[in-house]
Amino acid sequence: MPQAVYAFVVSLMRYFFIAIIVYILVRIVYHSLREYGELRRVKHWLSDGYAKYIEFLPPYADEEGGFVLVRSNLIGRSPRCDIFIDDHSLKRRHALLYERKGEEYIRPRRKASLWINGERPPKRTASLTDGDLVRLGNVTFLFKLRRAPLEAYDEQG
Amino acid sequence: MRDNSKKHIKAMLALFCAMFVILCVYLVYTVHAYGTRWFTSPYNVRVQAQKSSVQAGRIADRNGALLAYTRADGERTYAANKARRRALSHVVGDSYGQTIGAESMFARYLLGFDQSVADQFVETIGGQQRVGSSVMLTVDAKLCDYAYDLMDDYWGAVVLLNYKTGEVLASVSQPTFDPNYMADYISGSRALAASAMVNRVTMGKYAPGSTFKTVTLIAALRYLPGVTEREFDCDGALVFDKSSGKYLPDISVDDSDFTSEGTATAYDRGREGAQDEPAQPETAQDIYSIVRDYHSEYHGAISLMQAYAKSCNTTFARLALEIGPKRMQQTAKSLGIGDAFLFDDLLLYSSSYIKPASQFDLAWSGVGQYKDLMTPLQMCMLTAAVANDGVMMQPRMLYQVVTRDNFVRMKQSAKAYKTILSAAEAQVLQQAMLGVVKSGTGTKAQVKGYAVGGKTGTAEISANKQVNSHAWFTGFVQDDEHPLAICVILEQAGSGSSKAAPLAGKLLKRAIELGY
Amino acid sequence: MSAMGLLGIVMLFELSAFALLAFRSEGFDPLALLFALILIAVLFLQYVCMLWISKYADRFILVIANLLAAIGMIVQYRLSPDTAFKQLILYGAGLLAMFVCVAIMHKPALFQKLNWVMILGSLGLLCVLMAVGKEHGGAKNWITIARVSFQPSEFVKLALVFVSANYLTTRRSWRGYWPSAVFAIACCGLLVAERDLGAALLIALTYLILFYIATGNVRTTLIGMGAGCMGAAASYVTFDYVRARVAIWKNPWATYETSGYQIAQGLMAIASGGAWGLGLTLGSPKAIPAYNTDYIFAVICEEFGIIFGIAVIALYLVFIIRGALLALNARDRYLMLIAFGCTSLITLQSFIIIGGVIKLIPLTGITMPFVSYGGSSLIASMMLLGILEGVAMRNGEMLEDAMDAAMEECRKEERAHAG
Repeated sequence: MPQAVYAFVVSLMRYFFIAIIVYILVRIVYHSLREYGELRRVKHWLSDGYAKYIEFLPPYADEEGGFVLVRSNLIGRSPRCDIFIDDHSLKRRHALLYERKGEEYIRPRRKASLWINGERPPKRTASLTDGDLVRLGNVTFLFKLRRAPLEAYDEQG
Repeated sequence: MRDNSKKHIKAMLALFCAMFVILCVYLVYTVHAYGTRWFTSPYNVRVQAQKSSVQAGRIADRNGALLAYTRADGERTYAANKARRRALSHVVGDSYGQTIGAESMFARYLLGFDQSVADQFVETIGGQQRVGSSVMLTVDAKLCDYAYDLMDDYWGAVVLLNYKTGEVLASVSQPTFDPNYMADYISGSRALAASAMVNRVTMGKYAPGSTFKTVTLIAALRYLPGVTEREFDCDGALVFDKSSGKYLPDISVDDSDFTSEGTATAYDRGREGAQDEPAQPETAQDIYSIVRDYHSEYHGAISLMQAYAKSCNTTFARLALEIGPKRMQQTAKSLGIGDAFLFDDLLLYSSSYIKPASQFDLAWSGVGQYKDLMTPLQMCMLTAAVANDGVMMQPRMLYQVVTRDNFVRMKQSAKAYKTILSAAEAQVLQQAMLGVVKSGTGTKAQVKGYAVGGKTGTAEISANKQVNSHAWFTGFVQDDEHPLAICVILEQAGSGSSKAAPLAGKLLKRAIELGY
Repeated sequence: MSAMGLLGIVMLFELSAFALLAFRSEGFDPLALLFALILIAVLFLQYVCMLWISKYADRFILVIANLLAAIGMIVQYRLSPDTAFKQLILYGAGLLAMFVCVAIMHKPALFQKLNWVMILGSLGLLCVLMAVGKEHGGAKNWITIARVSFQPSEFVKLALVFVSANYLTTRRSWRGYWPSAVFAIACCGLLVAERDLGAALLIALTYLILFYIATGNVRTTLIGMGAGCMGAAASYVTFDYVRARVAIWKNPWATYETSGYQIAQGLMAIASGGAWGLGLTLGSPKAIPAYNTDYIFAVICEEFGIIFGIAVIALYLVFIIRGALLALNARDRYLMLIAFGCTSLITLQSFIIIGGVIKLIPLTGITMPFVSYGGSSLIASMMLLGILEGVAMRNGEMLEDAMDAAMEECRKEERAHAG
């Protein structure tokens, strides 16, 4: 590449590099703030005695009980999922349970089946409330956001 | 104890954040303030490196007269006329990084460091040789030629400013060099006077002599109430004890024992090189030191303004004694003497007023001797501020930057540096300075039809009879159409009123004729 | 909350920078693109592995650390492709060390058991340094074993954090934690004797910070700082190289020909770059001494611009804030002290070196974490990252345990109601 053209391209790229790193910085800060907000909310809930979890109905109800929901949880047939159930009606990765601004949402993958309280939700992503009965394929679970009146979550480790 | 740990962590975190914010702020500040200085440093290899890929742009005076350009074969060439080259040598600088003139101060523009991407694109696409922008300086080459002519064989500096905008209209420093032969000077095949590459306008520090009485006058106005009404008795030398420097008001001496005269130095600008004779201190009388008037001309009973107009050393020495070293220093500082300047267009060394230790030193410092040092440009800026009702403008050398297709990229605007005097003080000083030129020591600086004010100075630099004093004159034209301020110093030329003042008068006249 | 999008942008950055470097001379340099691809692959693998180990790993400090290392390697490649490849290999070694640390952090108590090993090992290494150390830039801080040279001071830093955290956690009074103070002072003294002032400063300040955090004893901390200042003043008076350092800090141009040369060149480089930079490969960074290591920030500012430099400083700050947040969220005291100790190390190191380059404080010979060329520095920094990730994982697990406990309470109550 002739020297003059190269010099020109390099001059142009200066702005590009600056834009990229500023974008990366802003994005990291934004996500960090969001994460920080959610962590604070979780700790708040815990200190008030709330717990957020799902309980599977038979035949997948097990002795352990419920699955606590922290950050985002992938449900599916693959062992790499956060919550995995070996049922053929489930896709390898069936749905994602995540939290946004205090609300819990469930988002199934394309063409994955989802029924909430017996109905198909209007939009692909649906929010869940305490007591919702969720069905993925042939697997059903209850979403619970409950509060126990006992000891608040204490900060001691 | 646990609870506090979290608080401590938060406190430390806040400290860390503060530290890093300071880091960022300092980085931005330091580059903003000193960046130009560092970039134009002669040690900076990047400027030289850029010359291999970008052809340096042209340098012209404010009217477009060509002062420096790069020939087709890549040689950097200067003005065609030899006298003009020399007159503007310090203003324009050289292309080897030996002097600090426009070539290095404005390298950013001349070598295309600030070229916009669009322009670069056009140049690259067109396959043209990259050329830097052209720079137009505020000086008028004709005025510089004339000043150079007037200076004749005297070493020294002449600088002419527009006191309303701060633009430098003329700046000549002698000894000069010829920038076309810089390579020869460096290799040694051509001889050059020892300090030829020093720009005396901005880097020459001289004892100001009587021109410093302006500062003493300002100090007197500020700290000695009613001083304008007082009558002073100038009737003989002020005597000080030699060892302690203490003032001895009751003793009088015959001061013919203390006179000195001298001859001029030998510098012939037709030849290169000069003999500079070092000063030899002579043993004066062993018991006393005196402050006397020039050639022992004592003035009798005079007012403050008259003392200023006639440049009476005795009066001003007495005033300095009354004002005291601390207040003298405060005044000097408030006027910008001792400031470290960070101008973008030129490198101006600081002047200094050292606080005198003994009364003899104090008296002498009040009349511009002792260890007082001023640069000609600062002296001019001071006078300009007086003329401009107390507002000192930033001196500018850059008029505008023009791209290769004659598009004006940037035009400089006037910026105030500091307000050093109140309008009332400035008025009083303007009157005082007008008095000097009208009926005092500066009559030779008069310009027909205009009100010119100023101050002369004859700065002794050695007790040796062989060494002559420096001749100073600094002044202004009181006219809104021609807001000119000037400072002239001719090294070892003798009397300011007979040598420097007429030069100033002529240069001011020419400047007015040219319309400045 | 996946950071995959972010990773993509970082990869784009690396790719474009190396593509630019590939075309730098008349021909095409395929090694540059190979380098970029290796970096991208390593970044991707690292991210995936870390998240596979635990979903609570802190992805953002991972991205920041790797971005900084990438910037360092881009600049190294621009300066000299050979050193860049060496740096790449050391980066790989650093990644291995990082994962080892993550593994060990599964059981942080293990470090507590290694307490005396670390103390004796550090002091031993420093003494060995005194004896056989090689000089480099006026300070004796390199040891060569079988053609491999490394800087023990980098690892002593980490050891200090662990040892101090250990003592300050378990013992609550002077009688308990005086060994850590003695260890810190000993290391400091040995380093000053070896003229490695930067590392000595780092160790002293980190210990003081940890001490203050753990005990909240303002008085003792201030006494410690006072003693440190007096020590610094004493060293100023007695050692002429300290005096020289302060002199060139105040005015590097006065001694341009000799000692002020480095600082002056650095400042000229930064000023020449201006806000937007001169452009990759268009500057003259080799004019600056130590352009690889201490002065790499000046090279970055010269070619990428000051805005970019400030973004780098901001990245360090975000890393530090996240590290401090990890410490704040730590479930137990030991982890909290370790996390904050590591955070302090990074803070102090980057502040001291960047401050020295821009002439805010006198220059000391330490490296910029992640960015500078230097095996020990990079490996130690990656280990530090691994430790922080370990703390993040433990934090997440403990949070999950707490949430599990809360869930159990709810279910118990439900069953009680139902039954």
